[in-house]
Amino acid sequence: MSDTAIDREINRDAMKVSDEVAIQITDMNKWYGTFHVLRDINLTVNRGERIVVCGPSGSGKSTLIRCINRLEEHQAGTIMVDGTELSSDLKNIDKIRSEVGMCFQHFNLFPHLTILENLTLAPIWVRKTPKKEAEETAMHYLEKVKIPEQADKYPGQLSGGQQQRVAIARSLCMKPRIMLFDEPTSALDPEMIKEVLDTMIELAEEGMTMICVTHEMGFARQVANRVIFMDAGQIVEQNEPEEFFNNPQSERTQLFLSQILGH
Amino acid sequence: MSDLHAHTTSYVRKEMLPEQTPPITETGAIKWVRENLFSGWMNILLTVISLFVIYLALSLVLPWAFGGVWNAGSLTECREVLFSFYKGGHGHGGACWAVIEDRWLQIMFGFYPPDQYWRPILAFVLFFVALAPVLFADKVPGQLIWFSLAYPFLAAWLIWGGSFWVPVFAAMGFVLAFIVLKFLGKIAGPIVANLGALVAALVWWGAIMTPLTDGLNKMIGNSRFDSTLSTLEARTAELPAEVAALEAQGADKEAEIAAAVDAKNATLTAMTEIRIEEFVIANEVEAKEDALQRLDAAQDSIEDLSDILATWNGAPSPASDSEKDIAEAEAATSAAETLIGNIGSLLSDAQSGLADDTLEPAELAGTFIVGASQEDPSILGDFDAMVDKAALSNPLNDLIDRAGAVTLNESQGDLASLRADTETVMAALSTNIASLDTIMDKIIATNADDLVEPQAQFLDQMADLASLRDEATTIAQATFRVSSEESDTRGFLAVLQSLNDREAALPILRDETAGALALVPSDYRNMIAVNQLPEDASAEDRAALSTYLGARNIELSTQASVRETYGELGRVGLTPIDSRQIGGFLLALIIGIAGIVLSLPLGILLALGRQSHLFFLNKVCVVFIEVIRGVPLIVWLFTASLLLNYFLPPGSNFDLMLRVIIMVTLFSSAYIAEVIRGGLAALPTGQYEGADSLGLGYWQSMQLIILPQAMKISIPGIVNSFIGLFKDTTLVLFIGLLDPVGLSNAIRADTDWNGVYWELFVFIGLLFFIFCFSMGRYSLHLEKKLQREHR
Ligand SMILES: Nc1ncnc2c1ncn2[C@@H]1O[C@H](COP(=O)(O)OP(=O)(O)OP(=O)(O)O)[C@@H](O)[C@H]1O
Ligand SMILES: [Mg+2]
Repeated sequence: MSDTAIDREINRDAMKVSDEVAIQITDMNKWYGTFHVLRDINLTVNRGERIVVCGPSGSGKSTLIRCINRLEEHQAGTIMVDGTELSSDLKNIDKIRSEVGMCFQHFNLFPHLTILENLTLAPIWVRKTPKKEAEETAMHYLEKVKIPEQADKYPGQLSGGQQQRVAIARSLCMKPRIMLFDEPTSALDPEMIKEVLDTMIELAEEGMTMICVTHEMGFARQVANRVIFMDAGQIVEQNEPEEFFNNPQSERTQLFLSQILGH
Repeated sequence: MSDLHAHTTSYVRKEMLPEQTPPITETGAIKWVRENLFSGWMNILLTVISLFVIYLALSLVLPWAFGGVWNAGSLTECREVLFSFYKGGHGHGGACWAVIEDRWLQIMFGFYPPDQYWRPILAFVLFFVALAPVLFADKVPGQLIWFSLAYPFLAAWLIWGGSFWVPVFAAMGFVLAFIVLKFLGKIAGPIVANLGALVAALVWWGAIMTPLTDGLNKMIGNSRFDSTLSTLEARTAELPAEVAALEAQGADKEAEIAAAVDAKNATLTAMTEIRIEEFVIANEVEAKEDALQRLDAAQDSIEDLSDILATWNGAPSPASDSEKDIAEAEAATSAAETLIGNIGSLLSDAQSGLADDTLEPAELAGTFIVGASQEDPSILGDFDAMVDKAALSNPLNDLIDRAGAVTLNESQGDLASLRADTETVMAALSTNIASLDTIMDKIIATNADDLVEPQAQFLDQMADLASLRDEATTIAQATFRVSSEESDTRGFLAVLQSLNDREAALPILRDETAGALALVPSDYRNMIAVNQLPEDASAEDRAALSTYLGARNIELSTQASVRETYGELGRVGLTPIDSRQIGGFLLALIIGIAGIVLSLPLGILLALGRQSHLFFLNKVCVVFIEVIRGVPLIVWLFTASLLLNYFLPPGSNFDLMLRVIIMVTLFSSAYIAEVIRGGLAALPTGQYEGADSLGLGYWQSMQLIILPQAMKISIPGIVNSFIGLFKDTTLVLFIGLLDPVGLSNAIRADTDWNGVYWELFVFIGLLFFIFCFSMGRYSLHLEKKLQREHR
């Protein structure tokens, strides 16, 4: 697919991986009706890791990361996030969701609220942060994603790239310890992709734990510390980017990589 | 990819063409007219047709509406006024708005006591204050929402009256529920908290509120007892005199009115005398037009006859001896014979009409139209130019003879000449009528000057009469108020005087009941009627039960009467108004507004319930919505008025209006639920996921994310339902509540206004239109406003 050049120095030293486990998925299985989407997923993510998940369409990438904050329910196995197991206990779910930020392909901003309101909503109502403080935090993150001047506009008035950055800022306002990205750039034009990737790189440099479904292989190569390849609901291969791209083990990975990087 | 972009940009025009003014046909009014009215033949045609239709409608309605009569005491008087201004004899010439002038307050308020009108008016005005935080949230201070919350209780108190603490206590039920909810919410789950709140509120309203109000009534009542008693006594002494004074005033007013009516009638007679010549001519014209119509009918019959004879080629005779042919010939023969008979009788009726009911022009001119012809001598010339009576009626004699001789074998030629001759007479008659019309116009012209003064005088007299009648109404209302106060005072005095006795009797009655109960065998003790006893119950048991029931009845009714007396004595607040007194537009507004305000939250809950994954909740909501929607509102209203009585405990007095409000609310909420469900379904799932991923709980994401957007989408549908609901309130007519349409029937039942339809309906329609139209406009405004934000 695309391979937007990342033209800045990336400070990989800042991205430290600790030994502390952030997410632990063991023998997880999920079905949609009778359709077995995810099969025996085992995945451990340490704090500070940047993981890129790739794979052909329909392989279950979105489903996997949506299971991590319980937008989808898994039927077998366990998912532990920050030591809390995901079960149908509503209190746990809300707690985990407020710890795990998520960015969607189509941003999912709230069109009836201004950018600032989009950002302060969850801190005020979920974290019970005072309005003033929430607004200050929001402005801080808007500056970070470089669009503080748009605070009083509505999402519909922003470009796609700006909207996605707002969406990232919105997640960050909840001070999450883990960020999930589901193809954050695939609905964007090339120029905008760069804006969004820059924001994500900055996040990585600050040591955020990230799981990112993306086909931006440049990003995977330079930012990720591990690339996971999924196919037909299984994790087929996972490796460090260098190894993964230069020396793919399985045939399916090779085929996928030749398709995506080929031309 | 970005390379590609760089290529495409080189094709973009860099220099703009200089600006030019558009040709004159492309600007301003001319452009607008060209584009919007006359673009293409079809559109020109449509524009012309629309203009014609608009003209037609307005030319019918405007003269009627603006030529209407405002001052009149009855439909007859309206017609007198219209008549004296030459505006048609049958009420078509102008509207009788006087009925609105006379009865508009009744249409607005029903039988609400006029001296208390300020209460519903105040409630209505405050309604807009209460609405402000909802409708114009960005323009008013946020604290106003507290007033909005208190408003329903305030409004109910203003409209129905009673002690001020009743609405306060009722509201406290909600406050209590809220406190319990908050408290339990902290220590237990949401289900427990909600249930607890519900139970607390029900306990408060059911078990605490009544004793509390009773206690207050009793406390205040006791402290007031003596002073009230003496006031009442004093009032009973004064009131008869007041009533008598008012009655005397009323009688004076009536006499004044009678005199004014006489004066008005005198003017009317004077005008009639001035116009007497017009009526003579009008009679003449009428008689001649009658004859003309008959001749026209005769002429038609001749044509039909000649058609029949032509098809049969002479007298109808069967073509063969088949039964069908014979029957056809017979039918034709009898039809033709009937026609021959008709021709004869129509012609002779016309002849005798002309001969008996019309006058010779010379006689008319010489005897009847003397005054006018003196003023305008050309009238005499017109009369001279008219043919004699004989010249019109004599040719008819010949025609009658010829018609009498007509047979089935008449030749087509003869019939044609008969027709032609009839037409000749008709033409002469038409000319004659036309001359009379000319004369009529001239007479009217000569009368015009003479009438100016009496017409003006007549209008003045009608206006005077109207104000006299207004005064009389005021006096009558005062009389009614004072005399009902008199009877109320007497009644209450009697009740108060017996209060102590009744109260003292209570323990005795209680003992008696207990004693009687002891004699009833224990199996039968909770029966409420003797006929519930089994067949084989002994006569003694029957007697015992009957005694017990009787004793209990007396005890309960005494208790209730004591309670009621204290309620009246201890009341601090407004005069209570019975629901039956509320009618007209006020009734429509109360039902409509209550329905709207209550059905919105209920509709939202139903819509959410219908979306819910909880099986039973979901099914309950679906069944509720489908059942309510699937049955006509009128059926629900009848259910409310009749059937509910069977389900309620006997003796409970559940206000009919309240029942109607509940039914209307349920009905409308089902529709609102469906509209909102549409809005919910239109939201992308991303919105739900966005809210979920931020950790918002169900109610938070509904309240903050989902509902605001879903409601925005549903605004047109919601407002549409509201408008429908508001108009449907007129249906309560069928269960005996006096909605505006019902009141219009009541007004027509008065002999003064018997026969007034259009004016009342126009007025009622206008009232509804104003409300519905402004709701529609507001929704448009809201849509536009929200559209700016929401793309
Ligand atoms: N709600 C659902 N019900 C049934 N099947 C579903 C549902 N959501 C996804 N699927 C199926 O599950 C499979 C995995 O879907 P998923 O969205 O996880 O794929 P993906 O790897 O993210 O693909 P893409 O790259 O196209 O986004 C697909 O075959 C899809 O059709
Ligand atoms: Mg996907």
